[in-house]
Amino acid sequence: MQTTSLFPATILHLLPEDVGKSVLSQSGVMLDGVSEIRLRIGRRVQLVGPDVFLPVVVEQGHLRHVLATLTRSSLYAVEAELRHGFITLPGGHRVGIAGKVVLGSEGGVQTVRDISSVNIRIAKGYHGCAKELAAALCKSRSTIRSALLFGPPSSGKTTLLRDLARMLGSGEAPFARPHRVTLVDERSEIAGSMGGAPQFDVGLATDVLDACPKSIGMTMALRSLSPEVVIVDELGGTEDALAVADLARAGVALVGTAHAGSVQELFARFEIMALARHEAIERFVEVSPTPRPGTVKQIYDRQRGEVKLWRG
Amino acid sequence: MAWVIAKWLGAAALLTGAAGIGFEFARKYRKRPLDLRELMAALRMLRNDISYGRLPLPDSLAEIAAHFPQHSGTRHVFAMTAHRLNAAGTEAGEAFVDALRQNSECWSLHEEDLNALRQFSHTMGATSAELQAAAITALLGELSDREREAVAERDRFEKVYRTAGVLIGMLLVVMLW
Repeated sequence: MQTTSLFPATILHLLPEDVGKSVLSQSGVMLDGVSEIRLRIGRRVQLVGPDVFLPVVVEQGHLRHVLATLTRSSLYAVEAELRHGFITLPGGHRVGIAGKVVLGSEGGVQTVRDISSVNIRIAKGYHGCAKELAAALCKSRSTIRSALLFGPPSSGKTTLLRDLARMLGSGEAPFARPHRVTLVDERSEIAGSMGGAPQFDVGLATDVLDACPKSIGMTMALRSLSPEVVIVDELGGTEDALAVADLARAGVALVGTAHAGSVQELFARFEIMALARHEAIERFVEVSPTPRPGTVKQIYDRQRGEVKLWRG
Repeated sequence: MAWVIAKWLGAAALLTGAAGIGFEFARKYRKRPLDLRELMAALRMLRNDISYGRLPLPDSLAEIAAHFPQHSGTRHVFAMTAHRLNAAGTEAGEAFVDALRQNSECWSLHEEDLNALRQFSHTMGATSAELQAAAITALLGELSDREREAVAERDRFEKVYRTAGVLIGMLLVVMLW
């Protein structure tokens, strides 16, 4: 069936029979655009992307089926993942979970029980989507400029970052050779690691620090992995900024992302300002979700206290 | 002459039959403690796999089953549960109870032993590792009580049934001679 190729087997395997049938009865063109399948108890199944609600109403049995398949009937085996609220599948797809959150004695999330919603996110790697960006960031054939990708949520920053890691790590043109890349993947989203092994192609010479807090990971990488480039998602707090400044002092390039709607919004943030002032980051890349996620809209640089449009 | 031979043959058949039934009863008493011990060993392995390895049930059960001899009830139940769990959407407790039902002939466990296992099945794969291990520990405690009781019963009844079979056989022969 043509639709099966659009839908990874791991995901079809996860769906209860009637939901699976209902999904596959949709047209191929529409299925191609599906980015999430959402099951919420008592409500109809939603296909995010085309934003269609299927006629199947989700019952407890459906969620139990998904959960049993997902955890291989062993909830304890995915306890750590449940604490973060999602489970990664082979192929980098991930399943987000919502329900009653049980707190542990130390105040952290112990587990999620009475699961009420399941969000199956279909991973789509866009091989080669960072080509243009790589060309812009390439300083000479062997080095890359430190850069910060920014844009609104789901504008494709992580996808770009992943492809950039692959190109750098594998030494794909414009890079002359494989770079030692360390990927600090706090949310296991860039590499989609499962049992430690990256599920996406993140490059030949790329090391992944999976589920590692960003600031700790950046320092760890610097000490033990001797990276040439560190790649990290969603820079935020002051500790992150300090770690980035450390990297810059050590001459390690950094490529990261940050949530921001516009360049003004980005520079309104204190820690980003600090990074720019220390020249730890040379380029600021505005990523736009239109016309399609991962579109590079503008590239800025910041010199002499001014934000300027940069032309390569 | 033929009458005499038939009489002797009948007597022999009666005797072996009665003795056989007695031996069969005795065998059940002898086998129950062994079955319980095997089951407990398997459950201990399962507890380790869960607490330290966080191994998913299908993998753990299949691996444990392979440790036990071909005719062992534990092997059959564990292997069948593991097999069922590899299909999509099967819940562990359900698969385990099903395997218990289908393999009840493979071992000499009493209904109460099986009830303890069924009770335990509700927690299988449905809780945290800590609770799972605690449930297995509780089950092991119960099974070890049962094992002690099974040993006492074996000591008391194994010989009784064996000799009773032979004696009843002889009695019938004498009565019908």
